[in-house]
Amino acid sequence: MPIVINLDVILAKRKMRSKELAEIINITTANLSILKSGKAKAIRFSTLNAICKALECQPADIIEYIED
Amino acid sequence: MKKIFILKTIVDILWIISWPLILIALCIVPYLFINDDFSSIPINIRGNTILHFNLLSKIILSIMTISILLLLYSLYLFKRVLLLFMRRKIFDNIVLTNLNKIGVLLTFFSIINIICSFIYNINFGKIEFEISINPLVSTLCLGLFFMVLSEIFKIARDQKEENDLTI
Repeated sequence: MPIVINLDVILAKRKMRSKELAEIINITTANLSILKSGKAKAIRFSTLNAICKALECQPADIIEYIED
Repeated sequence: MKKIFILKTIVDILWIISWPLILIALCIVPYLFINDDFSSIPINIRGNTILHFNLLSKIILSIMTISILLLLYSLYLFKRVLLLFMRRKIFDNIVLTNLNKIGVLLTFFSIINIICSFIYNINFGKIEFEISINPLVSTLCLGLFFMVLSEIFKIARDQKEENDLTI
């Protein structure tokens, strides 16, 4: 899929673990793992909003389009 | 989900009762071709007692008897589907496949029986017009419904998968 999720990069920059982020944004670690691995089919705006707020970043920092 | 337990029980009872039918069906076909005299065993096709036992009527009877096996197999598949529903495996691949198979079997059963009854009535019986709901046509509709249901379950499964992978 051309949409790449760079959540790992941002988490490393903010020195935060996946588990911590999952607790802050109130989703399960399993769902966060699905998002990180690129298996997710869609992301809700509310979830994106919560991630950006928690990591103090922009959506473009997390979601990137790379042509095949 | 009490309704499903009641339905499963009824289907299980029907399945147990149908076992002798399977044996009778398997025995009756060779008996039809060996024996010529059936005056002691009255055989009916849709309310009409069969009086003529030539090769054509024997073939028609054999085909109709074998078609009962299709019906019984669809009953077995329905039993398996209900078992999966009870285990909450609603969108399993086996459910989708079995629903489609049930539909195909019921459709074939009704088409075969409609054609056989019609051919028998043309050759040996009488053509009558009746204002009622033909049970075989109802079975045909039920078969088509099961096939449509299989397609709908497939759409539902895809939508569920998409929903599950929406974070």
